[in-house]
Formats: sequence, structure tokens, C-alpha cells
Amino acid sequence: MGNKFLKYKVKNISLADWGRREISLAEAEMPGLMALREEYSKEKPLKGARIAGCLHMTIQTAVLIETLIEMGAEVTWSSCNIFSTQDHAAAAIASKGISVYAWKGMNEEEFNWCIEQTLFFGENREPLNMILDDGGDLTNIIFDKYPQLVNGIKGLSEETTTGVHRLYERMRQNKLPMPAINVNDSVTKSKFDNKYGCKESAVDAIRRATDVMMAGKRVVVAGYGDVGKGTAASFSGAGAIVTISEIDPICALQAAMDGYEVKKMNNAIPNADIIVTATGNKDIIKDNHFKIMKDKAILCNIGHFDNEIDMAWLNNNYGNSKIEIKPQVDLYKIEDK
Amino acid sequence: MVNLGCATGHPSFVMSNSFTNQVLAQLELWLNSDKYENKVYMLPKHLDEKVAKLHLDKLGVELEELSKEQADYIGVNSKGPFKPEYYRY
Repeated sequence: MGNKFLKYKVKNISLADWGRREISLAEAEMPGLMALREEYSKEKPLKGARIAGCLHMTIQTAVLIETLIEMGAEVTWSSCNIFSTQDHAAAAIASKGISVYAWKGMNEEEFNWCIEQTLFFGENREPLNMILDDGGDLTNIIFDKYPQLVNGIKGLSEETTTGVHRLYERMRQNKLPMPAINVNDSVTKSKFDNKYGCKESAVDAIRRATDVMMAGKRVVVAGYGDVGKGTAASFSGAGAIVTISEIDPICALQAAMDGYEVKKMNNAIPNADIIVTATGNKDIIKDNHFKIMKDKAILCNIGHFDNEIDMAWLNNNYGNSKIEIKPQVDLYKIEDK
Repeated sequence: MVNLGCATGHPSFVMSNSFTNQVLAQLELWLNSDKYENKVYMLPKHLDEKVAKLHLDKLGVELEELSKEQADYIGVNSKGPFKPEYYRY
């Protein structure tokens, strides 16, 4: 499978200096990674490792990538979401000669192409021997499309709830061909990143997308897992009135005792100013929900995959009303709202 | 996902937690893969505690220490792991 070697593909390599400045600031906030560099940079225990990574290509991920390299690894990288790349981070990594294939705003075809570029390293087209994944798309492409590479791979580490779920499914069906480490369920991952990360970034996202006032708004969060807990806290911390919807009685009881109303989605939606899906499941917001939403309700997803919201129905039925406010923010008109 | 699409995702400090786990996982599989079967594993608790410990100084956290008697009283090693496997934080 030796395709032509393209060293990297990013949106704009001249953003590298800006990326490097932000990476330096991020290093000061990432003591765990910097401590590992100090502990292992002399010994280089990852020497010989060819790690293909598929994880949002952000400033923070740049620090991860450079840590792996400092520890002796060779690395190739793609992003695990078509919109999550920070182009200046990708540029900074590419300008260090690291094979990164990622830009903000890809289509499905480009997304898969980027992942496929990471499977072979350098001019010699040597195949990867380690997988570092977030959501399972890299893992699935290798297991399903490039099974001949599997025997040469020592193992994989998976970052997120959704990806881990896919791995346990494979294991149950005896279809896991290598050892895997579930990084998500380290306590210091899911009880921190999924929760406190979303607590910082959920309101941030809505502010940057819409500049809408948070205080006094009614927000519905679907799901009260780690991500739902952090997301709910984010909005209630900004002065919004938060309602949760849940299928799991334990999580529902936690939400109630944390002071939130917990209601069925059909009952919560008509009054909602902002609706956020955070369930890890699909079809949370469907046709009947769209029809009973308030005028100018803001709808978004903070789960790993976008099928929490039935965008196919929305675009098939009201796609011709769609107006782009700005990238990643679209206005739809449904009937008279 | 909206926080990565419309903003810049999670801040660096909390991502250091996650990514320190990722690096430790890669290290473990690279060095010791023959000790593992084709199953899904989690990192051991002492590494989870190591990740937390590496992030305390930055926040000015002063960690208390267990005396030998206190460690014995709850049946742990005074250097950790401090909780049983079934503890859910």
C-alpha cells in the first residue's frame, strides 16, 4: 500500500509562528506532560515506536505530540473531527517536520484521506506500530480496511467514551486483534477532562458562536454523564436555568440532587432557549422536537458524534431555509420560526 | 462538537491530565505489550494517582501525608494507592 509520500497537509504553514507562541504558553499549563519529558527524555523509551495519532489537532495536542517525540517516538497525526483542528497548531507541528494532515473544515472524504496518510511513515513508507485514537475512526479504518497492518501493531490507546464503547463491543464479539488501553476511564481523565473541560468550554462555545446572554436563559442538557455534568455546571455557573433529560435513573437522581429539574425532552424543549446534546447516543433531537422549539432556539451538540441531532431530517426538510451566520453557525427556519 | 467547532476545546491544564494518561498508556503498551491479551485494559490506580500528583504544584496544592498508623488503619500503603478498586470518586 505504498502511496506517494506527502510530508504534511495543513491549511496555512505561515501560521506556524503564532502556533509556536501559543504552544509555549500551553506548556506552562501542562505540568504532567512536561514532567514526563523531564523523566524520560534522556532514556528515550519510545525509540522505535511509530505512533499514528488521530486526535483533535489543537495547541494542547501539539504538546502531547512533542512529548511523544521527546520520548523517542516517530509520530504521524490527523484530527478526529472535521471542525476541531486549530490551523495554527497544525502549522506549528508541520513546520517541525512532523507529518500532520489536518485542517479546520474538512469534508468526509478529506477526513478519511487524512487518516490514511498517517498509516505509513517517511520516505520508506514504514507502517505504524502503535495507535493513539480518539473516537475509534483510526482504529476502524485499520481493522476494517487495512487488516494486513494489524500484526505489526503492538497496541492502541483510546481517549474517549464513544471510542472505548466501540472497543468493548469488539472485545465482546472476539474481534479485538490487539491489546487496548482505555484511557478515558482513568479517573484523572474522565472525571476531569469530560467534566471540568466541558465546564470551561461549553459556555465559551455558545458565547463565541452567538454572543447571546447566558444569565436567565433556559438551557436543556440531554445527558448527565461526565460531559453532561460539566456542561450543566458551565451553564448554571453563567446564570442560566438548566434542565436535564436522562434515561439512566442513577444519573437522573444525581441531576435532581444537584439542584436541576429533570424532565422528558418533549416537555423541556418548548421553553428552552438553548439545547445541548451530551448523551453519546443518537437521535436525541428529532423531527418532532424541531417543530416545538422556540423561535431562535440555539441547538448544539457536545458529544463526540454529530448524530445526536437528526441533521439529515433538518437538511432534507428545511435545508433550503439555511443561512450561514458564520462558520459552524447556521440559522434554519422551520414553518414560521 | 460545539466546544471544538466554535471555540478552542478544553483548556490546557485539564488536557495535561488526559494526555499524561495517553503517554503512560503508549509507554506501557510499547514496552510491555506481550504481557497483555487482546482485551481492553485500564491503567493501574498508582499511575492514575501519579497523574494527579504531577498537577498539584501548579495549583499550589499542599498534600497531607498519612502516618504509618493511619495507613494501616485504612489498610493502604502510605505512598498509595489510597483507594480500593471499587471506589468511584
